[in-house]
Amino acid sequence: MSEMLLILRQGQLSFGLPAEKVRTIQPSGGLIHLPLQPEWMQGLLNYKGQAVPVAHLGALAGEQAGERERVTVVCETEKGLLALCADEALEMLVPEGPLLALAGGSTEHLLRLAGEASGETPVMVIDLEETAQALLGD
Amino acid sequence: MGFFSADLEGMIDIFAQETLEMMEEYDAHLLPAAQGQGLTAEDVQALFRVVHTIKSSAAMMGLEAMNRCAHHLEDAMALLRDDPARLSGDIEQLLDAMYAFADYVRAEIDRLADADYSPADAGALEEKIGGALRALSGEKAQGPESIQRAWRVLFKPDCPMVQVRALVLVKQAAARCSALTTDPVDLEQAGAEARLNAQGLALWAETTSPEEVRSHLAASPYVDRVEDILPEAPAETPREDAEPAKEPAAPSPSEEPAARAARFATIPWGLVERLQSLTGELTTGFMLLKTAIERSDAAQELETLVTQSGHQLNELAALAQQTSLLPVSSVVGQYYRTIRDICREEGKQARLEVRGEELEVDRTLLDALATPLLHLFRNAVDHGMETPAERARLGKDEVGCVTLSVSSTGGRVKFVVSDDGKGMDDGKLLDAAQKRGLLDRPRESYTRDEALQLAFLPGFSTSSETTRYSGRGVGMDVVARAVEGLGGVVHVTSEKGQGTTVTMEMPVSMTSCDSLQFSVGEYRCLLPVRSVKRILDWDSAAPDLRRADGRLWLRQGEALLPLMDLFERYDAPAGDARRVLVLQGLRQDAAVVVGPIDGHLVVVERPLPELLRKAARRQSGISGCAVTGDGSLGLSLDPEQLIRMAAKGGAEA
Repeated sequence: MSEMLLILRQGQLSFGLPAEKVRTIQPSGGLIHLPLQPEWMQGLLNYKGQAVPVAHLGALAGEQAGERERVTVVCETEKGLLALCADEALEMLVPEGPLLALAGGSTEHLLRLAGEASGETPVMVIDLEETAQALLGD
Repeated sequence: MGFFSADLEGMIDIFAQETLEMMEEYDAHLLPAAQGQGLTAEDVQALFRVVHTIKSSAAMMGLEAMNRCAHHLEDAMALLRDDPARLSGDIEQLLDAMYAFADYVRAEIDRLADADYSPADAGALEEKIGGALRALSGEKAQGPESIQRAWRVLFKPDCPMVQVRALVLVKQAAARCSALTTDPVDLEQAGAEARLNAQGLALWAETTSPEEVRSHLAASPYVDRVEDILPEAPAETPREDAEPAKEPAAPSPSEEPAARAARFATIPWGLVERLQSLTGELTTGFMLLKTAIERSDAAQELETLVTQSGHQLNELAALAQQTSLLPVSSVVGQYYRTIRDICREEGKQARLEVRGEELEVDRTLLDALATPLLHLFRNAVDHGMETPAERARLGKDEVGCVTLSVSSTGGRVKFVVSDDGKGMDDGKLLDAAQKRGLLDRPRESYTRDEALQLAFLPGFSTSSETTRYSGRGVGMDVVARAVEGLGGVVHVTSEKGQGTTVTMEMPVSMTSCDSLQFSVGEYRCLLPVRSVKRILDWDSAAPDLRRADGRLWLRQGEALLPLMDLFERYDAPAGDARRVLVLQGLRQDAAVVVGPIDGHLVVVERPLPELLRKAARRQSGISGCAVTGDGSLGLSLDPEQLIRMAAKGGAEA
């Protein structure tokens, strides 16, 4: 059975996050930056007194990180909270049809599946645990 | 289907928790034996109750092997209880069996909730306990003979709660007697109080020390006098089915946990952490509120309310802090046993002395130090301690001494493990380091102190032989990593023939910290005020700057301190208002170049998210973060890590 996804847009790309893992969606801002971090690591967010690392969705997918991201989505992972920032949150949906696995490329370890959703735009479904593991591995 | 039936599955957690509590008591009463002080009759009585309870609850859970082992141990305790003279004999075999039983029970409890649980084979353990029991029963020590005596204790007329007083007396006397009967038989029965007031408490005892028992009775509070009565002719023969007096006198297994429950509550650790976390959030929220009020024209009444809430929050924070504190004594028991076991295995003799065990330390810190301490004790005995014959030849006491000293000052806690063994050989350390290619400069340039610290490098060992306990070259590395992970430092000193001392010093975790706030480019940073020795303007520091070996140094008096430019390190554009902070370390000082100072404030430091923790500390010296006065996060820097990085010319450390 397909899980419900929160669809985020970042530039020309659409991403799907498992909706049940989403703790909150809030306007971006209030971040502090950390020195010596890769481009996708935007910094730390003060979420209810807890410091949460914020990753840039576009940069995770190999695109250049911008300065205009407007939403931050705080998600639960087994490694702790992880926030992802993007241009906007579009909708919640249950994707129709089978999801396709991405193969190869720099995003292989971050993006589990790809599929069709929200019209013609392919949606990259993010595996949060894999993403968190990849960050930890660094 | 698993080992436990559906009914019993619901009991697993309760059984595990109660048994672990019992095992804590078991350990506590075995502690004197591990310290070489043997067991007292009181210990035996307590151990009897524990194994009896475990026997019963194991039977209830269908854990037959555990039940049988506990049953055999109960027999052994009964032998000791009924004939305390056996305690002066050799009970080492029994102690071995008792420790093995503790290991078995804990291992079983660890696995109980596993889906595929089935009880581990306990044949060897049963045999071990059986052997100890046979040795004990066949080796009745020839102590002084028990003598029958009887007394009547008369209480003062103003004695409050005479029944309770009598119960206490009987319990204390029972510890000195091999058998004890009383009248009234059941001191808790209705009517006992009237009889005690009318005719006192009669005691019939078998004991090796009748005078001691009598003196104790006479010296007890609210006792008017003690009269000798005929031992053979009790005034009123107790009921035949009555339990010996010492049974009701001592708290029954079911009574004691109830008494404990009144004083202690078992709180899931997750809840404690949440309480602490929430306290931190409340403190932060309060600070933001206070700042907002100060900036506006708030009514006086509001300010008063905020002040009151501040006091309450401070109290809450202190309470939350206390929930995570444990006395050092709660964890040292295992180390007495460790040293005993290694000594028996390796033919060494050593005792452990603990100083500062009453000190309360954050549980997280104690947990993190458990393994490092174990390694240090193993090293101290296995590598550090000479054999008794060698020690005698050297004019030392044949029994070596390992000391753990715990102390706390100024927000830091220090654990020092020292021994009076043979000390470390810096030549061997240098040989080993050279062989492994671990020296980063000519061997001759290493001081003895520097050579000793090589022992903390990963995989380092000079031992030519791997014993069961040490010599695998991982111990000291584990110590160093654990201590550095706690934001502390570890240092070893040693004198040949005199012994070795390892000092671990760490900040007390989860505390609020008076911090200096400053910027490094876009980064807002915090450093504990206590670690900042001096703040200098860049311009005033400039004349004291030296460049040598491609690195910057700051002259402070006669000393040259390594200096690290944090702008450079963090790849941040340097502004105009640069400052130099002179940092005071535990072993050495250093200086860092930072941006404008924004003042100081009290913050509650939180660890960085696990996702970032390791790399951030190593690369940037960032140990955590904290909410600052305007609600944003600041980066807490670890002064020791910064000093290490500065000493390495600004590289990762």
